[in-house]
Order: sequence, then structure tokens, then C-alpha cells
Amino acid sequence: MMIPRPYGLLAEFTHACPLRCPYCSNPLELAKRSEELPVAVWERVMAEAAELGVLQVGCSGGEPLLFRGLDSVIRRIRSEGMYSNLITSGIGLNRDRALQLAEAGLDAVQVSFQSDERETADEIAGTRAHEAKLAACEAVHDAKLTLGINVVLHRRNISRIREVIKLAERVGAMRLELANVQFAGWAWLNRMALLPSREQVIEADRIAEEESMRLKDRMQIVYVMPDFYGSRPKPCLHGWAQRGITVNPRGDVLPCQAAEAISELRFENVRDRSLREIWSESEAFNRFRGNDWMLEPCRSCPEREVDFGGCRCQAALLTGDARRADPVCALSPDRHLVDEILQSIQEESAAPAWTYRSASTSPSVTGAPPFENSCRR
Amino acid sequence: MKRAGDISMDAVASLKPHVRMRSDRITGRKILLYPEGAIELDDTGIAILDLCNGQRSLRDVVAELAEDYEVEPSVLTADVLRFFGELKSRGLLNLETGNQ
Repeated sequence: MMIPRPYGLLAEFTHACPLRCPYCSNPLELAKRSEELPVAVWERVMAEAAELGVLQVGCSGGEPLLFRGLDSVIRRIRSEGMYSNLITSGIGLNRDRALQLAEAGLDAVQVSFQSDERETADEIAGTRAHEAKLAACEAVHDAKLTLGINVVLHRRNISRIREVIKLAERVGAMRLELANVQFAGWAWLNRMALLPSREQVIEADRIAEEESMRLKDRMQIVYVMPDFYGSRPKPCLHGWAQRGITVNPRGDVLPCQAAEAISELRFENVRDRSLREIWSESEAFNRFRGNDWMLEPCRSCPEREVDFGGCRCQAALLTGDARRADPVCALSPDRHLVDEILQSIQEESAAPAWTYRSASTSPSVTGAPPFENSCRR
Repeated sequence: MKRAGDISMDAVASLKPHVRMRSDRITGRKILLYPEGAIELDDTGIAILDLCNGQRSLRDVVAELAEDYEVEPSVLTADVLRFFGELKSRGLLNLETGNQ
């Protein structure tokens, strides 16, 4: 099999995070601080990534600013010629910190927002964060770094899409990523509370398109469509193990940040093997590379080179078998699983309460989060 | 003033500060890196960007390029504007038009 070249590395330095967003894509079993990779190993990983052909490094988490030694890793990313983007909540990013990071060679910062106005945003984050994020955007500009904004869209904020776009304009973002929630990790746990209604999605699609035209050339809007309401799956990752690598805080190397959803996979660790060996030889990367793993209807489908059978994690979560077609596909024998979820969303007038992300490994759905009442509609 | 789309031939173009140009380690070709993306430059793209020294207008860039390639400037105008249009749509370009 032809082993492709990776372009992107997502480095999850830590799972620690001041926010408690219920849509977090981190796994339910968060890495402890004591399990985190040491700085020296991260530096080696960056050298190996550059050698493999990686061009872009997303410095992520959790909250990457909580990782001690981030600056030396960024220095290494820069000296290897790769482009670095800090994917942050913005908490802890004041002017001095932004200047330090710029000095280390950071190229860009992407700040997450939960909504456009403080009350809803803080409610979704499960903590007071919105004002600090606005200040972080200022700090990014002060340090002459380029600013991107990311907002995960879901039932509770998708109707604010126009206002969210205005917020991104106001804070001087060059790029705005509006990503409809993907169901992995905590988002899967909270799917019934997070899934927007069909009407919400149709309206949001329309506004996103309209605003993209209006802002063309001034701010790039990347709108990630929700796939549950479509009839064909997304070409997830442009195919398994084709373009990107995720390294989690423990040093496990994943083909996708959500890949832990596939319980049959065993991931290799950068403490034991080089990135190149893991990328080209490991069982987890080769498991769904190419088309040989496909079952019908994907195997003989003319669109198998277009969507690569969709998302493996979604197939695993919904059907229990990661080899099956992504159930959002209308041709999938499992599409009814998606329709049943959508049906129950339409029937309920109020979304169920969600579970905030927490360090507990056994999240309690009946717990009492601080905004218990207000997170219902 | 000659325009294509909304790019003026009088504009002076430069890459925004967050865009980095480097050689690709695998292919050896010149690439532009920017948040969440990269594009590979062909020889013409490299030649165009080399001419963008912060002084030349797009019209001057086209004229210089035409001289190098020994063709009429009009042959190149559409290609050059398309190239800048692509960079602009990715938010990679500063275009200064002065006070005209």
C-alpha cells in the first residue's frame, strides 16, 4: 500500500482546561497531568513530524497554555520550518504571554468562543470565560499575531450564528471557523442536548452562505456542515491516515482526535517508536487506510473515492462496528439509527440537560452543574 | 483604471505578515504557509511574488514579467490577476492603492 505524506499534526499537550464545554471532543477518560509527555519528547516529535513532511502544527489540548514548556516546543516547531497555530480558550493569554509566544516563533492563534454574548457563552463554557476571551483577542493583536476564531455550533447557540459572525468581525479575526458539533468524546455523551433541529440547521446554512459572500476577502468563513441532516457522509479526514496525525497528552498517536471512540484500536506511543514508524506501520493507521477494509455498500460504491465511507468513529459509535458505512449515508443499512435520533430531537420541545466536561472518569448525568436550569431551553 | 474583479492594476501587492514562504522538505518546491493551509507555487507564481517588492504596482509586475517572458503584457494580465485573486480570497494579500 502506498503510504501518503502527512500535512498536519495536532499536538494535544494536555487535557487540562479551565472550560467545561459539554461538546468537548476530548475523550471521557481525560489524561492526568502526571501522564503528560515531557517537553523533550515533544521536541523530538516535532523534528520527526517535519521530516515526515508535516507543514502545520496545531498546538491544542485541553488548554495548551497550561502546558509548561510550550514555548520551547513552539521554538522547535519554528526552527523545523513548520507553521504553528495555538488553539486556545484564550484563558491566560494576556499581552505579555502573547508577546512571549510570538517571540518563541508562534505564527497564529485561534481563540474559541462559545457564543456572541457573555451570559450564554459562559453558560456553555460552564465557567466565566467570555470577557477573558475578548481580552485575549486584544493581546493577540498587540503581539502582531494573526487571529482566528472557532465556534462550535449546537442546539444552544446555532441560532446566534449571525451575531457570532459579527463578533468575529468586531474582534478582528482573519478567519472564522463555524463547526457544527461532531459527535465524539463528551459531545457524543451529550448528543441529545446538542443536536440542533432541522429548522435551525437550514437557517444557519443559509446565513453562513449569505455572510460568507458579504465578508468575502475580508474574513474567511469556514462553515462545517452538520452531517446528520445530510444524505451523504463527509469525506472525514480525506480518508483515514491520509493527511493528519494527532498526538494526545499521553503520547499515543492517533489517526484522528476522536479515534479512541473505536475500542478495537490499539495506539502506539511516541515514547516507544518514532513518528515515522507509527505513521507507516502501526496497525491503527493501516486499519482503515485505502479501501480494502470496506464492507458493502461502500466497497462497490462509485463514491468511495469521494467520501471514503465517511467517519469511522461515527460508524463505531452508532453501529458498534467501525468498518460499516457511516450511518449518515442514505445508502447505509444503518441510516435508521440516525433518523431515530433526529426523530426524538424533533419530538422533544426542550433539549435534555447536558453533562459538563469534568475530570471525573464516570460522568454523572444527574449531577448538578452550576447552570442546571439555564442550560435547558 | 483597469480592474478585474475588485483588484486594481494600480495596487501594490504584498504578502500579509502571517504568510510564510519556504521550500517544501519533500518536494523541494516553494510553498506558502498560513493558518490551516498551504499552497504550492509554480514557477510563474514564484516569479510574480519575487517582483512584488512593495514598490511595484500590479501593472508594473505584469510589465516586468512580460519582458522576462518576452510576451505582450496583455497575454499575462488575466493570469496574474487570477493568481492574486486566489491569494486574496485566502486572506493572504495586502493590496495598497494609495490615494487615487
